[in-house]
Amino acid sequence: MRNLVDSINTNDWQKRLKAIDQIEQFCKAKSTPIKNSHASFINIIDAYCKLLNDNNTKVQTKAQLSFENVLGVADLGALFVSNLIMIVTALTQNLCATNTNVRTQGDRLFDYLEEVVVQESRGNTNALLQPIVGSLSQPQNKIAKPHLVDRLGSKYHQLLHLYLNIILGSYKLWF
Amino acid sequence: MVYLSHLRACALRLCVDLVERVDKQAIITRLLNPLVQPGHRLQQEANGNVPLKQSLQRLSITLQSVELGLNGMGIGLK
Repeated sequence: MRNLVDSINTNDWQKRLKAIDQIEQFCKAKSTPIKNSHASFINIIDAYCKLLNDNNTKVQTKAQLSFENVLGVADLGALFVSNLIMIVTALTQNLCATNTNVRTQGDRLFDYLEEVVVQESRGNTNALLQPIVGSLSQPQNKIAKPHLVDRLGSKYHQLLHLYLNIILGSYKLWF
Repeated sequence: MVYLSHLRACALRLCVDLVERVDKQAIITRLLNPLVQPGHRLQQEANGNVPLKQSLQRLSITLQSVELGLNGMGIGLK
């Protein structure tokens, strides 16, 4: 684990690319031990946060794709939800990227993260609200702020729809 | 008799769902309403940032419409 995390600090971008693959494989193969060791998970998330904001676009793009795969590892879902602040901060910086692909992929990762939160919290996305509102209060995220505000608005809208469905459901039941 | 008990169970479930939804909505309102208040730092920041200003306006409209909708249904949160 330590070797893996150290390998992302190298100046050679090709080695960093290789390290991303290794971290992803490690997460998939050792999901149960990682689940039982919160410290290991934090190390992995730290590594990913660093790679997601790498100064090399190839590394950044690869890290985004890899992070999407790791988000899909079922065993780690609950751990992602308990460390949302770190993840949202890293993804918010992706939304500020000058590269369009990185920005678009960052937005997609946000959607994917939302799905994981919904799955883990049984339909509730409120866990994401606090980290997003926290990111809005940071002065450096100027470009990302409109995206984040729109995301908050859409979440509220989804809730209204669910609410209306319940009202309509009760109406149909009684009449 | 069976029909009535089933109906009662459904009604109870709906009540629980409603309470949960109102609770979630209250949390969201508590977090989001300050963002659209004129004194908030984000509003001042939006003066030089047109996309942010527009997204804040959209959020404000959504919040208002949801509140109006809920009050219209007779379910006030205050």
